[in-house]
Amino acid sequence: MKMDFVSKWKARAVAATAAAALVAVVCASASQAKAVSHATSKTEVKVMAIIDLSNTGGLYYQWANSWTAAVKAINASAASTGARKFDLITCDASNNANSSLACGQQAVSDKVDAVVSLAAEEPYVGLLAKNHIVDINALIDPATYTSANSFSLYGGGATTALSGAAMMKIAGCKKGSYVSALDYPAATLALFIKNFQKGASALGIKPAPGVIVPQNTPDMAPYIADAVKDGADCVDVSGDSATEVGLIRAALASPTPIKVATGLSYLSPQTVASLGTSTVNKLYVYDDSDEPSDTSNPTVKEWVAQTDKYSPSPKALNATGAVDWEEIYLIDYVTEHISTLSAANIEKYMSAMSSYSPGITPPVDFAKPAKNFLGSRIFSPYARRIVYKKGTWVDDGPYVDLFTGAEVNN
Amino acid sequence: MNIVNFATLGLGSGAIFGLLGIGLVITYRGSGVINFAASATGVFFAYVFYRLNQNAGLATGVALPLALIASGLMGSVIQLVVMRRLRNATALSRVVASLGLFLILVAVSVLAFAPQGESVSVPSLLPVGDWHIGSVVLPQEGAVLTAIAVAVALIVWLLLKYTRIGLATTAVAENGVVAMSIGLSRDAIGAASWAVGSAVATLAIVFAAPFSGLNVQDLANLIIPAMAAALIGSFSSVWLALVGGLLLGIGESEISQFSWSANGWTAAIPLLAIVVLLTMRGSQLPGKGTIVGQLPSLGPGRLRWRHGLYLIAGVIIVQSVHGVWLGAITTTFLMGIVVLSVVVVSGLTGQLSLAQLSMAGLGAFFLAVFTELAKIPALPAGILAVICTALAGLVLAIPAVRTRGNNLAVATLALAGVVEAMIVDSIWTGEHLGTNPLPSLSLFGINFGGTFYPHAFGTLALVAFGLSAIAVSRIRRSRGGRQALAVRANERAAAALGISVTGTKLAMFAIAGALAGLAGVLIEWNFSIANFSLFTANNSLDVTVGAVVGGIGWVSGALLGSSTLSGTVGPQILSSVTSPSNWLELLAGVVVLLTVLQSPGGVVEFNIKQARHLWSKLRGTHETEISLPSLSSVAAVGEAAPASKLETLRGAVSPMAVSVEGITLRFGKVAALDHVTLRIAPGEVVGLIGPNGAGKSTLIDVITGFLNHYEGTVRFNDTAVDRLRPHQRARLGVVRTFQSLELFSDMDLGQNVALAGDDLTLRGLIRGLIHDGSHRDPELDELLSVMGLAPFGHLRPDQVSYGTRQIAALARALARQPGCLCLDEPGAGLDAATRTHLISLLTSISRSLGTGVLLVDHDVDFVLASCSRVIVLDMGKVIYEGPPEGVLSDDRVQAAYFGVEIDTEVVIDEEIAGAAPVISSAAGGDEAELA
Repeated sequence: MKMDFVSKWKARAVAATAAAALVAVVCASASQAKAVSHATSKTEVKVMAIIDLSNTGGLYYQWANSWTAAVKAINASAASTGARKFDLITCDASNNANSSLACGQQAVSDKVDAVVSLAAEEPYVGLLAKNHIVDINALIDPATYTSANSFSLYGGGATTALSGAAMMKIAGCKKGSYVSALDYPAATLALFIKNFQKGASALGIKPAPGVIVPQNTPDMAPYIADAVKDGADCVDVSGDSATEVGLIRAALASPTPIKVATGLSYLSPQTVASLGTSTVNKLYVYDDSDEPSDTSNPTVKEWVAQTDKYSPSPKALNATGAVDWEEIYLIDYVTEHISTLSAANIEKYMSAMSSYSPGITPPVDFAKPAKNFLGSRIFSPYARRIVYKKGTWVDDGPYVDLFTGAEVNN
Repeated sequence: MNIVNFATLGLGSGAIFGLLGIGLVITYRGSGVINFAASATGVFFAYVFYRLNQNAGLATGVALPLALIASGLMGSVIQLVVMRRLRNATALSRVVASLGLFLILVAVSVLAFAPQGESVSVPSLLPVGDWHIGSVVLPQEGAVLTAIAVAVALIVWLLLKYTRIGLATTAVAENGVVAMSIGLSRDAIGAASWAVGSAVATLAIVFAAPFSGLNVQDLANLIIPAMAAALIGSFSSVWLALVGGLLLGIGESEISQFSWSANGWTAAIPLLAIVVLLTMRGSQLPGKGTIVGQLPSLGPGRLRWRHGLYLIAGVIIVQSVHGVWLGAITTTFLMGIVVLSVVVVSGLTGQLSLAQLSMAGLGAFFLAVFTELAKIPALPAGILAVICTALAGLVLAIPAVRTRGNNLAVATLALAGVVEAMIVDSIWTGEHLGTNPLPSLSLFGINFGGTFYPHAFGTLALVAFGLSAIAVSRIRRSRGGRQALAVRANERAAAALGISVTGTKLAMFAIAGALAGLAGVLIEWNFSIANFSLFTANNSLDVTVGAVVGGIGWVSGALLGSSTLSGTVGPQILSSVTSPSNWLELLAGVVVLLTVLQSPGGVVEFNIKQARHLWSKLRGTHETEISLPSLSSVAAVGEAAPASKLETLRGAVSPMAVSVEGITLRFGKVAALDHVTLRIAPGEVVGLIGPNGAGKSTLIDVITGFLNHYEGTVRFNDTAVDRLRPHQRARLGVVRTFQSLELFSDMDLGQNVALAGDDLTLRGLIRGLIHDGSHRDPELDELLSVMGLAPFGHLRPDQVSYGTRQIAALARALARQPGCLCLDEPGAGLDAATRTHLISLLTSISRSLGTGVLLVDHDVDFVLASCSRVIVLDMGKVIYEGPPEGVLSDDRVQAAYFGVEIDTEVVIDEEIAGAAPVISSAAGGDEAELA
């Protein structure tokens, strides 16, 4: 009786599994036989925005809105000029690598012309590269440092630690340490530390070991103490929206007086307001785009005006918002210069662009990446110091090349 | 000096962890709930405080008490509206409800105060700056905060020790039922403890905000180190919780100064220390009287043809969709495998593990190491990774071997934190893994790499999930699975039958580890470059929440549970109908909470109940109550097979002599047993009587190995067994029953008896995992018949009378084919007919099988009628040993029972006439007196 049941069960399981496996093999073979190739003549530019909307505490909505503002402005203009319109598809990467990959796969199956992205992880970069879809991104995922389809209008995440080193040079530091409380993957943080150390060395600053603050740490004083225990006189602190205040507070309260560098991208307007002008100006704050206060720059004025008019709330009048806005105009520029609209043609054209001036950030040369130790896709490794005056950020000095220290004009 | 200075730097964080830990302890003591929402409550009201203080300009002395009172009220409301309704739910359901509250409070705080997740700087309420004492730097804020934490601990301790409400809280913590019976209101005490716990948590977050900045997410996440602190205090001692918090803060600070700490050790070492401490402090078996809480409901685990069709339909769906939908479906299957591992370890085995996704992370890590560093090809690397994760599951099982319930849940959460620190946040991982492409899996010429071949990979994920579900269903219904269910229901009773509780737990954790490892390997094969960011402690908690929502004891609930997780079908459906927003996170919390409140057994069970209800309505039928004959009527009319039928067991029983030689056992200064010597010969029924506290049950505990810190020797057939554990002694043939019966509550009586007939060795367990458990040997059916249990075999213990349960407990012991039986109050609660039936059975057992019987009972009449020899214990000493007829006339016995000489004739006459029946409660006969 027992054997009967077992045999019957085994037969069922084997039959079901075999059937499923058979269907699976047939279907898998069929799906792999499909060729992914397309080139169509279209009037609408289809762009996918991949961004971590969920699971980031609401921080990223403002930046998605910057893309939206640019697209709305272009489409409004196209209605009167007859130029190509944009179709923007936003895909929520959910701060989850699986979702992020699925967004990339959606981009391929939707046959988008280009991808703009702001996600902590981009496991789809290789997939987009294989399908010749450009990924215009913020250089957060290390995979974007080298992938042939990766383009960026600023140094983004890749050069953020180097910017801190540049600030240390301005501050006259001798030895500096990089302290991060960012909730990024270990691979990214390890690279940030390495980048900082190389960048600091290149600028003549002795690098101290980097420090990573574990999550769930209220008082970060021990980590600042660790960073300066071997004689560092400066620290570059990087925290996300939740941890930046703790890092700044601990650094400024260090019993050993130190200079503190940090990026504006880590400081929300609310954070800055709560810290107060005097505290903020104790910091060496860097940014990699012109500030909204720079009304002498016509592109800045256009960005601010379009953001005011077209961006849903919350609006992002900050560097990341500026670059997002520029990214859409970059695609607009490229599609105006190619005869047949296709992802492959966009990639081909962009790869050969020898000079492009986005307007808010310094010019880029996609045909000639910056000479650097990070990767082949670093085009715009620039940052400048900014200071806080009368409730607004103001540029303080020119951009500097983060690898050479040379000054760069916008 | 660095050591001292880094220690002082850790005071601030440590005091915050300690304060939060104190809040958790208070809440737990008064309500039995581990409040995962404590820090989130604190965050909400810390915002309220700072808004009142900074924006509205209210003085700290006014704003702070207002915020604390408001948070206390909120805590009380949570207890009275939510947690009270879950009093009889499983421990895990309560944990998940508090996690649902956590999600709700975090989402509300984000919506109300920080819609962009921003952190703002707030001024400290305490002095800032440093005191310099020689070369020691003492941060003022940390030092003062530590003093405040000590003051709070002192106040709470005084409240608990010297106030009426505090003493009542202690009473409820010790035994809620007894406390209620003496007029204490559990609701009032629960509400008060939630109020105080929430206020203390708010105070902690108010003080934490100036350190870290006022923000929602990071401050809410302080719940994890706070749990660790409370765990050090065993969720009962406010002082130890405070010390635990301080040690955590100081430990992290000290470790941070070493260069190797960047590899995750800063966070990992203190958490590991807690797990080790907890493990050392625990015991292999729960103590006598340990209350086994409500267990999660179990699905049938039946496989049907239609499940195969679902699998095929799944393949077709996978092939039909693409992009984000395909990704979501694939992720649902992958996470479904992780949820299945939760079903194995928490649903089937009853061990609350919050670390199963972290186990998957280990699988992913091993795969990356084998492929990237050792250059092993994908398939063998994957197999090796699964094996290694199964072995790692054994490590995770170590705390489970010695701890249980909520302590185990928090210990596994700590281990999840260790995995996160060592893998996700480790610089070593970042530098060595995920830097080169992962080789993708290729089989039969088909590439299954998820990035480039999503349909093939989706199909692989589906088939892997299907096979995993089949395997878990199989385990659920197997003989090995039955052992796991026994351990889940009652570890002491399982050990008494010969089940190795440790071995069973290890085996099930290893199986769950293998499943999680498989999921981890598959998750990595989805990527072209190794990625570990998914495997955080928070995400691991989410997996457990998903498992409970789906139905933690239901294999079919796994997909439903996994569908609630990030990146899966549930969020994808939501995002297709509405844009992502902070409101969705609030909705997620509400859904979790409502699900647990509406159906603690999970959505699948709820749906099945609803469907059955609907079906019976459609058919116009009503669910009928079970109508059965009573056991006594079965026995009285002779429907039970004659006891002589026990002859069929004769060949299987090896009669065994049990000797107890000079046993002394002390609890502190009290000698529970004092140089006790006795012998039970094969075929002999020896009665053991004595007044309350005489040591009767203790002696059975000693013989069967449940108590082993005694002096003297216990011999089975002249072999000393003092070093053997309970299950080992049971396997030698000495089997016991319990006063409180300890039947396995979620098995029917037939399964209870059948389990005892299984091969309960580790080899038997492993072999049993592939043998169907629904088949019952004919010998066991005959045993049920002999015992008069045949009509009741399909009923669970809670569906039959106490007397039937008594007989079932005896039948279960007999099914072990014992050489010697130790029966603890088998006659309690039986009516006269059933007792006569039992006497007949005992006589048959001893005479026909040659089994020796040690019979402990308060019913002297019953003992005299059953036994050939009687031993009387008093104050741990043997005061009489001899024939039954001499016992009542013995002066020492009379003095022990009555303190004076009595007319024994009268007593005997009254008892025989049934005028003064002996009554024993279900909870144990020690309360009963010799009438």
